[in-house]
Amino acid sequence: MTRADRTHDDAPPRDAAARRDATAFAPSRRAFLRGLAAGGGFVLAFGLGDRVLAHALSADASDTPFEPNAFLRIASDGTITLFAKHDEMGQGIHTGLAIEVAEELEAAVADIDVRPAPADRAFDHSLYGVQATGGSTSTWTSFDQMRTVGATARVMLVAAAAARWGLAPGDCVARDGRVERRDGTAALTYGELATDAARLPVPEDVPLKAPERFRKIGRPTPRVDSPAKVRGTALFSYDQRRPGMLTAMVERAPTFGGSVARVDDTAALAIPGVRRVVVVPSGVAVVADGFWAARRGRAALRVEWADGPGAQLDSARLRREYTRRAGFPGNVVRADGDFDAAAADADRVLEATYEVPYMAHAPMEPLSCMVELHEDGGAHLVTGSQFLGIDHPAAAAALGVDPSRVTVENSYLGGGFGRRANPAADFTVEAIHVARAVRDLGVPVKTVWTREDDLRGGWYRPLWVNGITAAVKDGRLVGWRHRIVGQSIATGTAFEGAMVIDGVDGTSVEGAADMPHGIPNVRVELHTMKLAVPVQWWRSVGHSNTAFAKEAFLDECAEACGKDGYAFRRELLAGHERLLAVLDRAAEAAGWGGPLPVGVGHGISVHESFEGFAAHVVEASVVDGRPKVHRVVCAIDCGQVVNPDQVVSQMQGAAIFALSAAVDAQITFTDGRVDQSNFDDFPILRMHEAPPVEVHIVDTGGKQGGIGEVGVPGVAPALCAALHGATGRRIRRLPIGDQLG
Amino acid sequence: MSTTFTVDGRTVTVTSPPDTPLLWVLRDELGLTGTKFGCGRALCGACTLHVDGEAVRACVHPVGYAAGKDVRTIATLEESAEGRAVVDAWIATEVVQCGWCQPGQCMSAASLLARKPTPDDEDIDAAMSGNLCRCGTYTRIRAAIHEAARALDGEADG
Repeated sequence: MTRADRTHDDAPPRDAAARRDATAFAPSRRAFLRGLAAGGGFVLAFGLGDRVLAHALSADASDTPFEPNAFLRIASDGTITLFAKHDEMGQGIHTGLAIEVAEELEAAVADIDVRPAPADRAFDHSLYGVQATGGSTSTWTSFDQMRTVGATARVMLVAAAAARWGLAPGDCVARDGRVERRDGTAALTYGELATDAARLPVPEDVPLKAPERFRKIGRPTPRVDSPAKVRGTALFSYDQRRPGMLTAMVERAPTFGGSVARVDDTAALAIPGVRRVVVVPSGVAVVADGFWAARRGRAALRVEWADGPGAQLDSARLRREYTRRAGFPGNVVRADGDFDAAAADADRVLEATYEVPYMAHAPMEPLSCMVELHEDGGAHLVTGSQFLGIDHPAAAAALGVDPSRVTVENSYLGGGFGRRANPAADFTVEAIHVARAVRDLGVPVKTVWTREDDLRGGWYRPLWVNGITAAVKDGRLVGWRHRIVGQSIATGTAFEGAMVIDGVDGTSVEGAADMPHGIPNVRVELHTMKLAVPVQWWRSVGHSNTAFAKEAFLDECAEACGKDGYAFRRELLAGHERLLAVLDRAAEAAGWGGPLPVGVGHGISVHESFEGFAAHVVEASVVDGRPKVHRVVCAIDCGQVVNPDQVVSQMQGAAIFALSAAVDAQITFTDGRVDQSNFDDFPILRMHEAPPVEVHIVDTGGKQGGIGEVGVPGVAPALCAALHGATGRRIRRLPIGDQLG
Repeated sequence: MSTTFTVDGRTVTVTSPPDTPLLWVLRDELGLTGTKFGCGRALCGACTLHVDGEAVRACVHPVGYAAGKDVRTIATLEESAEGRAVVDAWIATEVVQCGWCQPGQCMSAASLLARKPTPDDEDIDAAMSGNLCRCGTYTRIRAAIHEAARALDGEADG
């Protein structure tokens, strides 16, 4: 069987992008695996519908035909290496994957060397069918697969030991990186058994532990990446260096869709250290000895730009147009009952407009990508990406070569939040164009972004305006109409076919179209705007808008019905056990209903996203016209937890991330230009503004679900409800900024 | 033109123009990538290091400023008692998420502890508000600084 006709029986691709020609991915794995196996050892690999393959490796085994998909290597020196299919961007997944493997392998997590996997279809996302990290799916979609990797290896190691001793496997037991005779008379380390194990047939259908036997899964485990990150030795994309490497910086059009009309590079080329100035599709690249020369050179460029379609962008005008649209019917996404009739028959009809701005991801590590061109037209890339499965074929296409000539290596990601999962592989393809333009220099080129480039470079969470109308009768919510106005993220990408159905991008309406509340007449409509602003998934995607609008407006409805926000939600969510469980836990932990200090209000929210369930209570006041958050309490149900301390960490971080977007941060346009440039005018929360965040993990025994994004959506509405409690004023537009001044 | 200073206890002479920010001399000329870049305008603190014992933002200090001075980066932070306590506490408290800002956070925290061995929350706010963390690890940074202070206090008592 060749790579091209390999199928993913176990994980059928969900989207059109994943069904593209599999021959687009035929990376040269042999050299990679040979490199891994120098010195001999045992590689456990997956392929062919998760059938486990293993092969003994030695220095002279270089012609052995390997299936790809190597996750685990046990060298004869005892080193255990796990190639992580999901990218580590802070969420703790390298540790999580190692725990899953170690649980079944019977080895210590700390003894596993976790490395980022290179681009290879072996590491495809089990659900998306393309190598990717996103959608809060890494833990639950890899859970069985990684445990099987560990269990299969363990069974083979035990079999190898049993053969060595002339015993039945049942007379041996694996424990802490060794196989022991049950009679206690001998033991062999995994390293000592690796070569033997690799020669054994690979068992299929190896049973996995029942959850009650877990000794590692579900217990706090130290992160495997902490020490290197704290000590500054962990390598990120921006840290990559090669002998002779040059640094490139691209001056991009000041308006989206703009193009270079004329370049005067005289002054730039006069800057010491500047080697070249080249025009690339995205702008003008300055290639220099290092960052500083590149930056000085770029500042000295004189570029005349031809305006593109984005030159007319103006946030005030956009907001007016979006708000106007919200007053008209849109594409119907959901229609339960008869909203119009319910509204006509209501005691009271409430109406409000909720709005969230364009938002940048602003990972602390700005984007970068290093390219080493090969003489055969191929290349080796080192980057920090959530989307190697998109970057790899895109890089090959930009080079005009078969993907088998392109290798892509990943690094630790200094934050991602969705930005490094670019559907157009923007920062990867741009780096290829820059490197090709200076191919004659014969050295690697790392294209780097500054913070200004990051904030002005597009690919934002869309601006969204929501027009919501509710019908109240007899003190109950009987009708709900939610009109959403905004750009589609998936349209125009490889994901359009799968994600945009009948003109509706699922990410635009998620969290609204599926609201589970017991309201008999529900209507959800969508207006899809087409604009020059590149938009992208931003941690929690559509939920970051819909949960704000839905939960904040529910508070207005609760008030109109004369009910407390907590009690009101409990009634509306009757029968939804997981939502109720987190709602109750958050309320209880926060002491909901108890006394609050004078001037402090509290708000509550509950929302499902990415198959995770989260409730938030926020306590806040207003000091000098600015929101002050005193406390956040979060309850999360994500099903079987792998590393509880990291679930807590994610919820804590998500709350701070969400508060940054709620309080001050936004991207706006004036005369087609982005108004913001750096952390002074794109302020994110600082230490003195960050409240304590308490996290409570709830396990209702439900299906495993998402974590990383789940803690974001409910924070802003709970904060706004708290501020309403404190001041009597409703915030319906984010960021809050000086609206309370 | 060259500039001579010590970095992490080693004397170096660099040839970058003296107006080159110290950050880029460290990262690009000396290959010391433990000091990170986040904003270039002293707004985020990712590039925090110590010059003659003071926490400074390397992205806005020209290398000329370091001439003849003692520059310490995250690479040798653990050579000081405060630095060791901070690194230990950071790991024990599981502060880290993406990790890009953390060397700078640790440099600021060690500087705080050197000035104020038992900081209260207001001291932490004042000393750490120049260090941004997009992952939102502030709760744990605060806890780790208190933990490091306790450890240092224990050492002093011992």
